[in-house]
Amino acid sequence: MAEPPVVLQTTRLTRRFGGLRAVDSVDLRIREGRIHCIIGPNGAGKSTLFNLISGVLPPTAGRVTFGEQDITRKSPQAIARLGLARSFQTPRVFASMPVLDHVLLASREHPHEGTLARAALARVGLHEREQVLAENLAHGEKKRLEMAMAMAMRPRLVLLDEPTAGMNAHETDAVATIVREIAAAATVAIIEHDIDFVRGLADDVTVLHKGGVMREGTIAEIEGDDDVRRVYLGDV
Amino acid sequence: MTLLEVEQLHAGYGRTPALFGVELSVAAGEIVALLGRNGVGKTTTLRSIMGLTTRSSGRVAFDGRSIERLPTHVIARLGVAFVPEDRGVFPGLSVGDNLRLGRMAGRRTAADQSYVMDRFPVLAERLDQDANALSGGERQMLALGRALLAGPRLLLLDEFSEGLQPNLVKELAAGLEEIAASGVGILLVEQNALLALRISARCYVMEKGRVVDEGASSAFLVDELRLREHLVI
Repeated sequence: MAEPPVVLQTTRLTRRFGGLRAVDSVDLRIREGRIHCIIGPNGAGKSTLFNLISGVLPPTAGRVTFGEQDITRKSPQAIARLGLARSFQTPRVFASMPVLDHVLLASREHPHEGTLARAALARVGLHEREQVLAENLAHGEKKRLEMAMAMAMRPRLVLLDEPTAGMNAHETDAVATIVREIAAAATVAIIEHDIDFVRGLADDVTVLHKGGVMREGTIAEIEGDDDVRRVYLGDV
Repeated sequence: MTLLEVEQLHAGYGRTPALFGVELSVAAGEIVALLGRNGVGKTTTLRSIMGLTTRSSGRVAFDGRSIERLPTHVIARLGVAFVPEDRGVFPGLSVGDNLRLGRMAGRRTAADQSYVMDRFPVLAERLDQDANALSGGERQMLALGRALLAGPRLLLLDEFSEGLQPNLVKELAAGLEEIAASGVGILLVEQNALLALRISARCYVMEKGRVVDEGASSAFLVDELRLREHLVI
């Protein structure tokens, strides 16, 4: 069967911080409709890669192509308007703004923004918390709010940075369900350390190590790789 | 020897109460897990021990001395180190300066920096870099390293495994057992309940700002009903 088309591609993407090559000539292809997990040791450059793709940081060198467009050095807002949504390792919400308003902001260019926003909140289980101020949400709820905001943008590609960090087993299962829902309508790329979670969701896996791509493959291939076990997984 | 004793602690944030009579203890050399769903008061309990909440009543004793009215920096100097979930790393300061602050805040018998460097070699490579440039997991290592450099007698850890790569979580879990074996008491809050139960001797389970169950961690591990009831495993 033919591979789905590439929705996002990075070409020799590089970011230096002083003498450190945080992301070092990364070639990545994320294919339409897939769930693509990015794993690797702490400091491997995973979040920096997401920051480069989403325009939060400019690259030192290299190119990012989203669909047919070169989005290298575009602003995060411009990239978001093209259909790329993301969440952060530490949820970025507005403390004194109610939950619903966050999602309304994300869906504001849609003619039925209210309906869309409430539907997104229902899908992440926050529909009974819509008037709660974001500062009063638990950590896991803030993460789910970010996912609702991403859904409400009706994006083509969603980047999720450690969506299960700090969550218990039950909440992690709930996030997996939400990710599957998002993936029904969009391509999803996820940075994650929870290998059980990755095993249950990933179509494709990329391992980053010291800023570069170390391995690519299915989760079974990755888990069977001695080098990956040595630098990252341990005896799992 | 009991190192930490919390009795009937009521505390919260401003006028909003969050803890309603928490009772727990940690002995020297013991790892104790504080478990429960999100939002039940686990982090607030750690913060209250450190003097970072509004404590309305109850007693917190460290090594037999009441500390519930002491300011946070004095509690730290007595030998209590806290690694918060947000890591509390100082951006704008180098990794090395963040570590030095740990030594300054702690006891005079603070540990040697090489002890931390051996455990987290990546920090040794980045001593001169701004802590802001660290990844989430590296910040976690820095926060843990800083706490260890303070030479604590009691270590309060909030979600130590969050954001860390799998092999490092295992190494750190073993490292915590070593640290406890040297006489340090450890109270840890951890969403990965199975991990916490495996490395702790005892555990407390919280619901709605109270401790609702406690016992030997080994007993919890083999009691699936209890695990499901309290811990959503």
